[in-house]
Amino acid sequence: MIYEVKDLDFTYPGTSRQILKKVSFSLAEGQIMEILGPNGAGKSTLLNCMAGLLKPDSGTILLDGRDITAMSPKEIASVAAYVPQNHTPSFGYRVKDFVVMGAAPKLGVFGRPSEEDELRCMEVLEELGIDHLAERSYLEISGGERQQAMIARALIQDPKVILFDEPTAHLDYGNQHRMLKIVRNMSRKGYAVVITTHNPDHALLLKDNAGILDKDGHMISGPSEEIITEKNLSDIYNYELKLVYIEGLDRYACIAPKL
Amino acid sequence: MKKKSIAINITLLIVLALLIIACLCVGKYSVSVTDCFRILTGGDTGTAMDSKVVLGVRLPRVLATIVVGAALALSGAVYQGIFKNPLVSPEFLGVSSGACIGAAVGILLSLGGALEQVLAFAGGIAAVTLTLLIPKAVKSNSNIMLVLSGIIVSGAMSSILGFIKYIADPETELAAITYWQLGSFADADMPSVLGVLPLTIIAAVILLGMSFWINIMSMGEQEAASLGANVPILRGVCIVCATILTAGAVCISGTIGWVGLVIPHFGRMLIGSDNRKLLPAACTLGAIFMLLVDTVTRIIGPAEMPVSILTGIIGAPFYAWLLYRQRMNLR
Repeated sequence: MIYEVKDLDFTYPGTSRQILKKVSFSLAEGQIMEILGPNGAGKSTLLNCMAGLLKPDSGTILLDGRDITAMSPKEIASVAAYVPQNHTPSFGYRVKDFVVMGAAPKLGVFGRPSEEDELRCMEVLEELGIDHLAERSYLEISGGERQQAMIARALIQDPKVILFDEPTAHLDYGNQHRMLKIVRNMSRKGYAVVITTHNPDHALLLKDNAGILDKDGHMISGPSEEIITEKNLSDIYNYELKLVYIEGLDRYACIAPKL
Repeated sequence: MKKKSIAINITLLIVLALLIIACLCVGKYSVSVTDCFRILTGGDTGTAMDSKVVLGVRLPRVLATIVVGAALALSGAVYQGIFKNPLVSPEFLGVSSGACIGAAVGILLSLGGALEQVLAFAGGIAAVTLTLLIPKAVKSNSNIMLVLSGIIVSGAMSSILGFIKYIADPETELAAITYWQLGSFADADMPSVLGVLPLTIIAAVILLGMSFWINIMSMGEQEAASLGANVPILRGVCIVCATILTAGAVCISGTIGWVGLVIPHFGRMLIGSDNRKLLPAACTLGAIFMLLVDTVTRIIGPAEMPVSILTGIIGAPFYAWLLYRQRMNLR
């Protein structure tokens, strides 16, 4: 198991609302898990706990068999890579200088990436088909390209699991699905993937496992076909939704009825 | 691309070296370049007056401007990096206002140069320590809390400074404090520079060594942590080193504005944002800028003008121009 999460409770310090209540699930190597939930349900909070960025009030997270609270930031970063939501950075690093930051977990305080790391970056950029961006400023490329650069950086970390925080947010329709394809390919290459999304259809496309967080901080999880049901979706979004089988595509799609 | 940045850094160093020679030669009493070389290499010292001017007066001053310029630019670049905000300057955690109080107290008690320097240094460090303690007290560890706390401390310090000025003797002490705040290299001598130099060099070497992690820190606290950075410790070390640099600079020359804000921007335009290349370039650029400005103040007009006046006059429009050039890159 890459993740074993047990009875996780989380409340932001200085606030009274408990975000996560007794959240438990596990994720095996190479598997995908989609986390769905309404706005403010705590999807990102859960992901941050899993990345060791937030410390849960109680409960345990085993990352690759080790208690995450006993691991240093560097140890966590060399197992779990975190791809944050699309953002605009303050400085115009060249894309390859940005990507090479993924080498950080194995470097000391005065360390710098080696020639080898630089070469590996170019390889990864090629793999993702964005090597033509290497010399460009990170501020000048598009949102979709930036997301891919972040994935490249995550791969340089050489992790076992990649955590995506709403990777499809702020992307146009085509790029959203291109992103899902990349995520699916990551899992085929052996990386475990955890991804938060607002779109149930994305969970239907990615399959494997799903978890649904409700407004009270409870989570149900399991194989995605058992979790992504009309009833569950209509409940969490508080809106009537239909799962429709689409013949030509051989898949279910999540559709809202006529307004 | 790598070669290009090394070439730029070497070119900057050559420019600096040439400027040093030029600045040793020019002034109210001019010395020829050949004489200057002879004096520097310890050969035939020419006239006694020549060597006294070059070694006794101008060399300490040139050294002081280089150290101060490089220190301010480096600490500015580091602050901008770790607070991922290109509008931050080295003063914003309160180091300058703290140092002002230290120096003002020194002037008020007529302690004399060296002790005044020590007090300025201590004042700067104390102010930043106070700034760092406020977020601890309110149990928030975020950058924004630190920035706000810097504003609080700077504000309080300037009131205290106002009080000191109010009780100071307007003829002598008040004038001295005001001049100190405007910054000047007129009184820079070898002992004061050498006193500050060891700590400055240590802090600078640590920051230059950490330049890759400063890149990481500039991604923001959360992202840096997800890349394996121990954010509180790395940020702490950066702040301590950058504060030592600024406090050291301030106690050589008094407060000098604009250098720490403008030079890192200029460096980014020249060599890119990557701190591995930017930090060394910022040091050299800062030294060049400071040397030029000080030399100008030295040779124009009958009396010497305080440096900060000129850095402001040059710095403000220069900064506006830089922002104009970079407008695409600012949110």
